[in-house]
Parts: sequence; structure tokens; C-alpha cells
Amino acid sequence: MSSKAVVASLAAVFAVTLAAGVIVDAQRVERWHGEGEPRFYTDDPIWIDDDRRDIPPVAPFELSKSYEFVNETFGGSASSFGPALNVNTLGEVPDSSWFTNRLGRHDMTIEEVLRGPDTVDGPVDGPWLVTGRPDAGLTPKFTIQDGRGDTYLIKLDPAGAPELPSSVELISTKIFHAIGYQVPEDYLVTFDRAQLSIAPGARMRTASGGKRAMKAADLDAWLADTPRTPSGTIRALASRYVPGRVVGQFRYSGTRSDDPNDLYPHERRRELRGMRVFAAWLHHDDARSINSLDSYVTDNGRRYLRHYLQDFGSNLGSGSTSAQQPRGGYEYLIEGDKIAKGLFSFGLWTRDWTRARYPANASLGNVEAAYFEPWKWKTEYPQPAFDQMDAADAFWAARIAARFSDQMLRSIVEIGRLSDLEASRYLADVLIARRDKVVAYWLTRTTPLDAFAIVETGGGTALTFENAAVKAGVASSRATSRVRWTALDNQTGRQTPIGEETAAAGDVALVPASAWGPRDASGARYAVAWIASSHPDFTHWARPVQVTLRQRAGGIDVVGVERPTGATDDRR
Amino acid sequence: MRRSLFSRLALFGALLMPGLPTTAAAQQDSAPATRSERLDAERDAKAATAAPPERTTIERALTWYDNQQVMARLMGGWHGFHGVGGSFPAGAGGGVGIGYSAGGTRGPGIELTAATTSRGYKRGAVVMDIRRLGGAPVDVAVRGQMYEFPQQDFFGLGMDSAQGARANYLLSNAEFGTDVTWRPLAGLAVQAGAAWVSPRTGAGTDTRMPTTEAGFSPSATPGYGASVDYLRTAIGIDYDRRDNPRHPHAGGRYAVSIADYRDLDSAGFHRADVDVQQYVPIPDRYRTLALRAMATFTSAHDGDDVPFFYQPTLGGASMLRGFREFRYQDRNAVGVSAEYRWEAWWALDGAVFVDAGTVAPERRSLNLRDVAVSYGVGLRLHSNDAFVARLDFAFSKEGFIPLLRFEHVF
Repeated sequence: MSSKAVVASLAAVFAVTLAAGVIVDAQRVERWHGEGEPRFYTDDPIWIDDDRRDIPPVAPFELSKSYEFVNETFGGSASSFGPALNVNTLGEVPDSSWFTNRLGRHDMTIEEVLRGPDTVDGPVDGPWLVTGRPDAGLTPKFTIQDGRGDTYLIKLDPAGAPELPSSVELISTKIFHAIGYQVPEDYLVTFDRAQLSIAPGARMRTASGGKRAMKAADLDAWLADTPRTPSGTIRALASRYVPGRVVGQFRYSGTRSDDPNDLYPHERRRELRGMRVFAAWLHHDDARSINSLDSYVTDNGRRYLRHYLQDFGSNLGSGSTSAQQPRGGYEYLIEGDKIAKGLFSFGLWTRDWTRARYPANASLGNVEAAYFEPWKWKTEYPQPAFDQMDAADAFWAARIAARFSDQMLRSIVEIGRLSDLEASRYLADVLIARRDKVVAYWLTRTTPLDAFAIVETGGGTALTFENAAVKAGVASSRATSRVRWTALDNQTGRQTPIGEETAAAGDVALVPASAWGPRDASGARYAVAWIASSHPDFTHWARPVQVTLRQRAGGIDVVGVERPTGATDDRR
Repeated sequence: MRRSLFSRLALFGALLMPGLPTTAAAQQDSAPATRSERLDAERDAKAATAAPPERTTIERALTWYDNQQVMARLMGGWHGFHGVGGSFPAGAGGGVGIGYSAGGTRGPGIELTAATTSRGYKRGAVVMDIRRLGGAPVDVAVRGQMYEFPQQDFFGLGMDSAQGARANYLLSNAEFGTDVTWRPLAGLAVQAGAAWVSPRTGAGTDTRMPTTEAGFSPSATPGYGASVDYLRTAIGIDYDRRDNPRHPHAGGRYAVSIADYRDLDSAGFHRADVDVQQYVPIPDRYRTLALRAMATFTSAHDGDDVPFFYQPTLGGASMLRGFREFRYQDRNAVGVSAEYRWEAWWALDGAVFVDAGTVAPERRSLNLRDVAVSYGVGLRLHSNDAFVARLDFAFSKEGFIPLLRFEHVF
């Protein structure tokens, strides 16, 4: 087949897909209710998914990093495909054991963002007992118990990258927490060798894989090459052990069979799919199961699994034990076609990402924003939840990313305490520029109408909204909107068109009195606005967002928002 | 709210088909009135059948692999014991060896190694060293080794030697010595050492070809069969400006060493080695032109000759790769290599190379007319920052030779 024919075929497929997408989107309403079920329940939209119900103890189940790599690279673990399932009827992620709406739904002060998950001020200064050394991970590390009895993982910076892993891990922890994920409490600490003593019974795994008692000489060896501060102390990241009993990690696909609370296949969870946007922003190419935790916690008398993200030491410019590899974020560890192309081109073909230029600063590593392109960004190997991120997931995430102000990001970088202030400024600039890029790209992949509200006007009840992309300054204000209405029978899901499509002047649409469908069992009536946007730069905004209004005794509220899922990586 | 088993099973069935609505059957006895109730019902259904996760066979195997730290054990050994290759010359056959290491990261260390090959090559060595003696940039090492190489090839001296004249001999050696390395600047090492060496030669064991004794006259094999012990004293300087010595892409390495071999009768010989390497990024680390020039000159003290087994050779894994190991040898040798390497993958480089070299009995006899050339292609396996192995396919006028080696050519 000639290249022209290929292009033509692809174009045809694209056109059919686009057309079918409108139909599919219209049909997706079925997702919310089964036969005989109402489309909307009286408690919709729920903002709490109560997956923190009391469950019996769960046995530890450690995942294999090797298996994850092999399985995702050569097979793929996802068995469920389609849009996100764990969202409420507004398309939002309810609070759960996975995610707590923070900056995305509530205003946070910079102080609150900087405080993050912290409940103490870090390990108590004074003698620390070294209790062991974890097997997993690349970063040199050991565990300590402080005077309060709390256990911390002490992660050391490598000799060749002073301040790098510790700063990026702290910065990432604060950002992921503000977004809404569960993360450990991380603290930057400085300590002296004299503070440390080996706890009785402390054991460690040797380089040859065996286990033996830990000795002071081991500690000396680990600290020998660790960078020192000007005062001779050692800077490190102290990561407090998470509450509860760790019972393994979560996968980015499927559910955990021994956790009754775990209903949704993880590849269908919006917060895990949309995390790709945040991971791209923060260059978190190590976002994989092995860097997660499931902890069996007791909370208000209920015992359940809480799901944590952890180990951000390979974010931004860091590769944990050195600077991030230039390939990181741009190419999977194994991509057969690129290997073949690379080999047989005799070097005449080079990968695009080799053009990226990085600062010559060991405490920054390989991080930049000029070459970064959100749609090209990748993890180390395929990640089933990221792979299924659609435009609606990405919009959800981009909207949260847009909530981080420049000042907020500069303040977060400051607590990374890079001793080179110029480097600190550079990193903040890069974070801001990368945020701008992910917001600009992912906010515009779907029809970005948002902030739906009901107002009473002189002409009657009206639905107001705004264009999130225009508001964020990532699209010109040349967008116009048109609305058509359908009356919804909540019990059957049937929709009856009402009137003609009309322009929504000033992003306000009057609700026709005839738009309301029949009352359901609870006495509520529903009307659906199909709002499409027209913009010369984003023609796919013509695919409408469905906004469902509910009228019941308490008045009128917006109960449903469904936006086109679209194609997310059409430019990849 | 308690539910029937049927209801629980039906709800769980719905879970197995994500994205599909909850079945009507599940709601027959008590349809949920709210979203929360519906989710509760689904969680009740799952609770009834919750079971520990299971692993597939492959996952079990890889979990075991991870938990047993298989790679760490292979690479790091066991209680100080680890596998070694023995550093045998090409053609020694498949080898196996064991080493033991203790200490050495900062203080005194010791390493013992023993290895043998399918063709009867043997080597045993011990190295005791002290790094950064007294905190100064000085390393001191005491070394001893014994080896026996029973099938060393010999083709005769000079560029006129014939491929068909291949013979073999036994080379054994015992040596003991010490050396001191001073590193006054980053990348700069000055080394001096002395050692007692006791080389012996004899009939080779490779029956596919004649022994050196049968194939060559005594005048063509100076030192053959002699029992001479030497005191070797040497001094060298090595300036290493490579960006990453374990996997270089830029910079260079420049080394010169001079050694004096003196027997008890004050006879003996000198040997001088020059090795210059330069790595040129084109224009970045993803494409590199690696260049090397080496020269070895030997000269005998009055009335003596340089034993043939101490004369420099060309051919084999590191220079003139399209020729057999030891293919050319004489008192003096010069060789150059150019290798273009490109990154095909983060763990694999491709390479095309050309080697050229010549040997001669006198330095002034070295000339460009008698130059042997070989060329080829290769693959270099590496990690993010360290070389692992190479596979070269080398060609010359004498044929094709595949080479699998675990040390870089340069």
C-alpha cells in the first residue's frame, strides 16, 4: 500500500471514528443505569465512595517488579476497557481510600499545600536507632527509629547528584498530596553520623543476596560517599512509615480479590488514568505498581486498605542514583521497532528526544521544559491505567493541574532546599512551564465546558457555564456555544428532543419550561442540555457536553456532566 | 441490609463485566434506592467471595527470582565468593573460575581467584591491596600469580609469517611483586612496581597443529625452552580523561609505560608501551568515533634477545580482530583502530571498525607497506553507564572471525 493510500485510509478511519464518537457518546448515558434502574439516584452526585468499610485482615501480597515489567512490556495486564467507572455523575472522582479531593475541589493556602500529609515535624532530633535496610529500590537507604518511636526510611542522595533525589521526592510528594493522592509524610533532614547507632537485632541483605546482622561498618560504608553539607552533616529524605500494616502494592489493572471494597478495575479508575497527566508534568516515569503501597489501616474503628503512591525519587531530573536518563519519559525500555531502526540506520536516524538540552547542574539532573511534549511522554514501560486515559480523564487532571499557582509551585520548590538558588529558580520555572504545557494540551483535547451552575434571571432559570480552556488562557476567546435540549425520563433513560439548537449567548442558556421530563419515583424531573462549542482551533469541541439538570423540591441542581472522551494521543 | 446468596452472586457477576450495568436480576428482591446502597450491595457481593490473590506460573517464577535476589547473587557472589573469567587469551576455550574477595572498599582488601578452561588453561592469583594509604592518594598492591597456557599459538616472527605455519606451545609463569599507584590529580595515575617473574615454555598440547619446537627453528623462537627468571621493574603514567571509563563517549586516555626485565646475569630486555585512545562525539554521545593507536617496542640488552613470548603481538580480540590471536608478532609492533559506534538502543550500540597494524624486528623497519588490515561490524551490550559484552564479526584476508568478549576493545 502506498503512503498516500495509508494516509487516506487512516483519514477515513479517523472520520468514521469521529462520527461514531458522537453516537457512542450519546449512548454512554447507559453507563449510569441498568435496565429498570434510574439513570440518576436521589443521592447523585456522590462525593464519597465509601470504600472504607470494615473488612477482615488482609494477608500480605507483594508484587514482583520483574513480572510487572515482563507482563506489561510483552503482554499487558488490562482486561477491562472503556471510560472511567469510578466517577460520580458529574464526572468527578469521589473521595475514597484512593483519592481525596483537595486542590481540585477546594481552595488550599500555600501553607496547606506545603504542609501536605505531614502530621509531625519529622524525626525527632537526637539519637536514631538504625533498624534495617529495605531490599527494594535503587536509592541507598536504611530505616531508623527516632526518640518518639516512629520509623522512618532514610533515603540518601548519591555522591554524583547531591540534593537531587531528596529534593524531587519532597516536591513531588507535596504536589501529589495537594492533587488528592495518599502519599507518605516526607521530610528533609540533616544528621550527623554520631547520631546513629545500630539497633539490636538489625539485619540487612548483603550484595550477594544473603542476610546478616548489620554492623557499624556497613553504615560507615553507605555514608562514606554521601554528599556532606558545608557543616559536615548529611542531608537526606526521611520518609515516615505509613500508618497501618503494609500488605503489598496495588496493581494499575484489575482489582485486589481479597479486598471487598475494591470494586472498580484499577485501569478504569479516573484518578489512576488521569495520573498520567501529573506524571508527565513531574516526569514521574517510575509510576508503576512497585512504587505503591496498600496499607491495612484502622480508622474510626473501621479497618480497610488505604492506597498510597510512594517513591518519587526518580521524578523530574532525577534517576534515583544519578540524573534521569535522557530516554526517560520518551521511550519505553523496550520498543522493538525503534531498536531495529536504531541498529540498521547506522546512526543516521536519531531519536527526537536526543535534541533535548539539560542544565549542567548535578542537583537538577536532566529536567527541562522546552522540548517536553505532554502527548509524547511515557513511563518506563506500558502502564495499563495510563494507556487507557481518555480525553475526559485528562481534562479532569489538567483542570487540577491548572489550580497550582506559580507562587504555589515556587514555594514548593523552595522547600526542596536546593543550596544553589539559581538552580532552585530554574526548577520552579521548569515546573511552571511543564504545568502550562500539560494544561494547554490536555484541557483542550475534549470540549472544555465546565463550572455549570443554575441561576435565576429575568427571563427565567438559566444554565451558566464557562470554557475552562479559555479561562485558563490556553485557547483564544473566539469560542461560541450552542445548546439543544432533551427531556429525560430518569426511569427509562429515554430522551425526547425539545425545540431547536440555539446559541448560548455569553455562556448562558435559558432552560425551556418544556425541557423537563416526567417525574420519577422520587418526584424529581430531569432536563438535558447538549452544549457544543465552536472554535476555529479546536474543531473537535463540536462534540457536545451533556449536562443534566434535576428539578426537585429543593430547587434545580446540576446532577450530571458527561463530556466526550475523544482520542487523547492523536498527535503521538 | 442482608441479601440472598442469589443476589450476591448476581451482583458479583456484574462486577466481572465492568462497564455493564448491574443486572436487573440482582435487584429483583431489593433494588437499591440510592447510589450508595447500590455500591454497598456490590461490595457485599464481593465480600462473600473475597479470596487471596493468586499468581500465574510466570508470576510465581519471577516473584521467586525477585525475592531470592538472583541477579544480585549472580553478580555479587555469595559470602565473598563470586564467579571469575580468568582473563584468558582468545582461543583458550570455555572457562570457569571462582574468586573470593574481602574488604577493599576503603581499607585493605584481598582477592583470590582460580580459573580453568576446557583447553586446559589455568590461572591462580592473589592480590592484596590497600587503597588510599594513610589517607593519601596512594594505592599499594602486592600480587602473585601462576598460570599455565598450554595451547598458545605461534605463527612465526614478522609480517611474512604464514597463516599455515601455525604451531602451538605451552607458556607457564609464576610471578610475585608489588606496585604503588599515586594519583596526584583526577584522572592521572603514576605507577611503579617490581616483580619476580619466572616464565617457562614447552610443547603445546593442541594436537591439531605441530608444536612450536617442531615447526620452528630455535633461532626463530628466541627463549624457547630456557629457564630464566627475571626481575621486572616498571614505571608508567596514565592520564585518563574519558567521560566514563566504563563506557566512554568522549575524552581520551593516554598511557605510557616502560619496563625492564633483567635476569641474574644482568642480561635481559626493555619494553616500552604507548597506548593512546580518543573518543570523539559526533556531535553527541549517541554517535562516537573511537580511535586508538598503540605501539610496543622491545630491545634486548647487549648479547641477549627478547624472548618470543614477551614480544608484542597483533591479532585477536583487541587489535587486528580479523586475524587469529597472536597472528603477527615481533620485537616491535604498531597498531591503529577506528571504530564508529552508534546507540541503537539504550542498552545496545552498533559498531563498524577497521584495524591496521604491523610488526618488525627493528623500530626503523616499521613501515606502511607491510600493514595488515581487518574490518568488521559489532554489537556492544551495555547498561546505562557500563559496558557488558561485545560481539564482533571481523574480516581480513585470512577469513572471518566472530568474537564474543566481556571486556571492551578499548
